[in-house]
Amino acid sequence: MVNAREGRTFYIKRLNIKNIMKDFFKKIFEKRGLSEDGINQMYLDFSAVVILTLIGVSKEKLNTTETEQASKMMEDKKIDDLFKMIQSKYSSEEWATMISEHITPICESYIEEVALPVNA
Amino acid sequence: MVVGGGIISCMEKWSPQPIIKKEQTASVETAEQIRSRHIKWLKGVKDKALMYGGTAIMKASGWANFLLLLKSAESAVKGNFEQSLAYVGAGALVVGTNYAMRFGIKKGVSPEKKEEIREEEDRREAQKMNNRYEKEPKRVKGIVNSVRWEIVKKEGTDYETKDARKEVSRTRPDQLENFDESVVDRSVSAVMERFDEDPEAAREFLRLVSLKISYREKFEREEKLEKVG
Repeated sequence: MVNAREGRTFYIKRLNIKNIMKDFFKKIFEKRGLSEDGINQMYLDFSAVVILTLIGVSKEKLNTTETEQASKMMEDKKIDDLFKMIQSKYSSEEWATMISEHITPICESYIEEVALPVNA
Repeated sequence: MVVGGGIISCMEKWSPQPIIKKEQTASVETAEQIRSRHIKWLKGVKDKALMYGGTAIMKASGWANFLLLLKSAESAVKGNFEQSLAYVGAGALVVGTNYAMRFGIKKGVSPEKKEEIREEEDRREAQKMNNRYEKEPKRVKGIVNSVRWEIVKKEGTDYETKDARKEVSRTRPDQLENFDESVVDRSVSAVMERFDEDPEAAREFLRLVSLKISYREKFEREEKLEKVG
């Protein structure tokens, strides 16, 4: 259970993260002729890959019941619960390693293959 | 730590030059070209995600279910836009911190040094995997033999005589005439039943088989072990 202050801090952090990421995508693409909807779609695609990857690489940590729960959470679009369940299976160190091994390359390749102009 | 600064500086570290500077040189590029690169990237990454993400899920529910899960993921992301942003942001934050920690990257480190550190990291990872197989050759060998037996048996080979069995034990499934990968999948179930008492070994085996790319390597490795043994 979090107290009100912690709750507020978490909420603010989430807002900051969201805005920063949104700004980041805007910053990269807005002056390059893409519409706002187009940028949002690219962002959603990127998010889907990240989440899918997190689920995929973490599947081995889930037992049969949890696997079924995970599928159900996906169907019910309870991404928040799913994310928490996955994260709870990792120690801080393991989580950092997993992110480093599986999410970092995604971000890196996106920057290198999409975000950076080919003619620069 | 400044939350935003972490992400932006992290992203900038990934690019050979500061992103803003590169943007300014990109005025001739059309939106269509960018979108096309995005789609190309998306397809490539999704294929990879299918490969390693699917490996784990396949164990529990099969490829068909994984494809459904992929659709659900996209749909769920779209239905939870706010959360998705937060997750990606959270991931990027960890990445930002961890990236620098992992590679010991500091401002001013040359791209060559960065590459060198990465290569060393990859080499260590490969060594770790090798050690793992070396420690458990018997178990790996046992599993590999079992599945080979199952596969060859299902191919209709006569395995009743001692010579035939010997021949079978030397045959690599992917060298069989009319080798069908689906046979592997069916064989996996049979092997799983045998290895109920050792689910960890079964899991390891499944991982290797489902990756396919490890298949040949695995048998070659096992052959080397045989020679050594």
